Amino acid sequence: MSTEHHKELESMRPALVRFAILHLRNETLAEDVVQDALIAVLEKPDRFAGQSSLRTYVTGIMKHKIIDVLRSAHRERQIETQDDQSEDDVIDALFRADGHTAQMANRWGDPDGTLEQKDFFRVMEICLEKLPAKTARIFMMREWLELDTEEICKELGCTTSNVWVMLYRARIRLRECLELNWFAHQPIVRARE
Amino acid sequence: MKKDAKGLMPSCREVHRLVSEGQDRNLSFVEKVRMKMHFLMCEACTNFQQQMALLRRAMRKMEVPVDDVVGRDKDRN
Repeated sequence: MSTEHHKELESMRPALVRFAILHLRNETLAEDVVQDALIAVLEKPDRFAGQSSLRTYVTGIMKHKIIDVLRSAHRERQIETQDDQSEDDVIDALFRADGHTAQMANRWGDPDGTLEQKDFFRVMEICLEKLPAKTARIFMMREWLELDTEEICKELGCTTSNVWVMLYRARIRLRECLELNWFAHQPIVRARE
Repeated sequence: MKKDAKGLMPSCREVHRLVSEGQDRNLSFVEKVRMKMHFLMCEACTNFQQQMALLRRAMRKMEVPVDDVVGRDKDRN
């Protein structure tokens, strides 16, 4: 691999570390993951040559490395698996006493158009950063690493019903954050109140 | 323990939970019917379901923030 390519990869490091922290909530582990991922890319430059985009290629490697670290770090108790505090009211706050929604959920407009916007993903990363640590880790395992509930429970040692509730809370929090910081500023059809 | 109403007509509270859990497990036939019945008459829950579908698609599409950094670097050189 050329020196230039090497430099290009090296320039990605800070952004990759920031991204790994989203998942792991631990700077040391995040730096280890990125180090491993960059080495993996450097060791197999020919594999990258056939890929359409360096970003897609690095994303795939990062997924593998993050899963590995989540597995071993839990065993070695390097990551916090305590339940997040102050999460109880997230769901309650959505509903009135009779079970109706307290507020109308807005329409978010054309999904394809939204997903084409780079800035949308920046806002989403900021919203993910705001999630409590354990909630975030479980949500990322489910939605980004695409593990199923049983696998997550096996890795983190919690019950499936507990994971369902945590995923529900994560979705509610993300929805609120995206609504406030993205969709409220987009020119889309608003739902009737 | 669950605050979902279990009457004949499902509440928004129950349906919201089913929408989320439906992304993580197979819902029973009865749960699916209750949810779909509710969608027919509830715009809030229908919108919520679409929001959750978008959230899932967005997460699956998310890639590491690499291009931006490389792009910025090229600008600088």
